[in-house]
Amino acid sequence: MSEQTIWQKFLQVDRRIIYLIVLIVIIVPIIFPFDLPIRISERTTQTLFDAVERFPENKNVFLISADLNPQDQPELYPMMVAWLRHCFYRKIKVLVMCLYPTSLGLAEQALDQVATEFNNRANTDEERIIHGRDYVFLGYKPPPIVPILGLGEDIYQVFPRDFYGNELRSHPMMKNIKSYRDMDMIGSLAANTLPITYIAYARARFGIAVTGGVTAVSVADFYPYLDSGQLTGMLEGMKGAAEYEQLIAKTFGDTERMLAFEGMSAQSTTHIAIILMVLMGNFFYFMQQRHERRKG
Amino acid sequence: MRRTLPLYLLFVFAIWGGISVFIGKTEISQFDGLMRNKLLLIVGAFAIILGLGSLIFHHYMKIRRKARYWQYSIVTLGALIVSTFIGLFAGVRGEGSLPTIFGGTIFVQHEGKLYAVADKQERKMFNENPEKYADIEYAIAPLPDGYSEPLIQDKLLELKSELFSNTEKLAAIQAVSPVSKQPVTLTDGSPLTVYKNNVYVFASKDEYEQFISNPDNYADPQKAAMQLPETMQGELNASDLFQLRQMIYQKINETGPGNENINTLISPVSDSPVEISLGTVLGIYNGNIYAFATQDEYDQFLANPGNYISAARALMQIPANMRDLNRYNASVLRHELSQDRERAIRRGQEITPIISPVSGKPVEFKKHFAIHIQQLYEGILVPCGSTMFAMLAFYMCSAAYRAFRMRNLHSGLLLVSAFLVMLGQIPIVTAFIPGVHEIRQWILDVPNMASKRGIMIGVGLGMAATSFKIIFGIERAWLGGGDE
Repeated sequence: MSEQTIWQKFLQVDRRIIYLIVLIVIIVPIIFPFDLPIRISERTTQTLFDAVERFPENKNVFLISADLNPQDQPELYPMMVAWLRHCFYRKIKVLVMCLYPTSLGLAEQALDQVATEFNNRANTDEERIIHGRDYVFLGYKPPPIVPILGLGEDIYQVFPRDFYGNELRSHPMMKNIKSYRDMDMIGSLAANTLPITYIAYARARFGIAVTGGVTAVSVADFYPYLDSGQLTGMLEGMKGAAEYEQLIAKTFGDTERMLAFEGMSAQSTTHIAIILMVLMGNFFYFMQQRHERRKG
Repeated sequence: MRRTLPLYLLFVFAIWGGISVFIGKTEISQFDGLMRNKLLLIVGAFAIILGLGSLIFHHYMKIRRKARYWQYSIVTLGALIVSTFIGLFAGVRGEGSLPTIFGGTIFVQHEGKLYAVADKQERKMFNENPEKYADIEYAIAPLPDGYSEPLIQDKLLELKSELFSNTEKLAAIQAVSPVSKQPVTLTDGSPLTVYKNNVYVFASKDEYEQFISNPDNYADPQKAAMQLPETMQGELNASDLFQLRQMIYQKINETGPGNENINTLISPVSDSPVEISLGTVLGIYNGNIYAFATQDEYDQFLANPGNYISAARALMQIPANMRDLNRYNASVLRHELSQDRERAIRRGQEITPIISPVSGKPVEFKKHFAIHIQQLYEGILVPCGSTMFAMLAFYMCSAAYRAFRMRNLHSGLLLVSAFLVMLGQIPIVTAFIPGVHEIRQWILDVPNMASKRGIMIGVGLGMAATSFKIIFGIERAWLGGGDE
């Protein structure tokens, strides 16, 4: 029985040791967080931020399609919070809807969180964020394509009532909103290809600008649309969310908690750990191959 | 017929769907909208029923045959039955027909203010006679003015400008306070209020607050500035307010100092005559008319009317989305109140007691137990989903170490590009190593985009071809059979 080389021993290391290493590199930065200098991506995050900054005064409506799930919450939830903060700082009206029932809870949680942040700081009624005046939570409507097409014609046919059962027309901010023509942009937060559906059905048919907040693994799918201008900027995973949070903090002096920015330390250490493991795995593999060639 | 009818239906609706995209006639769009918004939902509902039926049948057969892992099928069916029952009868947020929120502090609502009562008996007493028990001192917090107030504020601003333009009409008159029985000089914007259809005027804000805290003690119709006209019963809007002010102006103009027939304005707190002078500012909030000493006071009131008249016992602001106090909203309130109170206890802060407006005694704050879909979502689905994806981090790292090998040129290119893109995602690397960010961006912008475009074009052409084959009945695999 041939003796195992050291390279083979390394290659066959118990996977629990790898799990333990991953556990340490994730937990330690969470317990002892450190700030990282984040470079803003010009093509994606900065483009989206500038587009929202340039919303015309006569419309000022941002429709957020919040289709985030518990699985992609760490990446998409900070994006939604950042978008809401930006809109409320700029006094942009926000409509929030969900195309999947599992997204309702998280969407409402994000709205409540940001509204509470602003209301805790507010000194006047104008500074407060009020449902019906500054934002409306439309709720959920199945299946995905029906509300996307329906909103292009008449929002009241698709959502006669909001999520809380109020007549949609009774809200002051809905006075001049009937369809996509009265909105500035759609922001699709999704872990799947839903932004592409919005491009195909909303932008192509009704001409409204579309942007996306997507998970890091699906970023590559959207670059053709970014290049053609069909997507107006994009947020790429947790790093994109952290970049947007930084831009908001820098522009508006926001001091609220930045979830994505806090998570970047753990994400960075984990990425470095994965890179090192790939390099080490290949190194041990090549050394083992070399040993076998010399031996044989 | 069984296999041809679906083909005909598919053809008709597919052609209709195509026509409606290219022809922009209103009638066609409206009918297309009807089909999408109503018909598709019905079809979807049937699809869900079929899917559920299939799921139940499949797991039932597994249990009956005692197939491998049949115990998991029992768990699946049990979870399906329980969640269906809760969803159907408990609702998403507890609004269903069956009670699903048990225990907890009981809230009642009156005229935009929230109160807590000790038990169901007190709730019944309050609801039968809210006027008797509703006391602003006991209000937890006024409901925020999210809907009508902005409009009323606009009207009030118009009213104010109207008032200041009529300064010549205003004259000081003597008024008597119903409380102190002394003459009151009403200065700019002295508070006014309406109580039991009588308009009372006060010399100061303190008098007004004394009155509000115990109106029955002070209210005297003989000391009212005027009776509220019959046409203005109930909730007063801005138009009513304007008319009311005109009536007061008229009375002022018709009378004058020294005239015994003066219907004087008397402060119900100090019982002294109240003098309306230049630029008395009136405001309206929750059906009450208020007047203010100065323009600044009026502006402050408009900015936050709730603060101006809110009780010292206010615990929290009710969220703006709570139009109605249904079971779900009450459960959310209890949850937030309990969190605030627990936080205050941890910090050693004093907790303001909740007082029942019926008994006047402190109400013990109780948490509730709730079963509805939202609870299932937050308590089970969110943690399970997050956990499942969190575990992927471990499996990914293990796979990266064990399986990601550069065995040939293609895998080598993949490895190197993945390596560079991942490096470009790490902030500390992009900040200190120049060029990494640009390399990552180039990989995504050039080779990635080119390949994605090629794949998308291929997929798009394939989808178009397959769609035409299905529409024209050439491809029939979806019917459950092969080509015929």
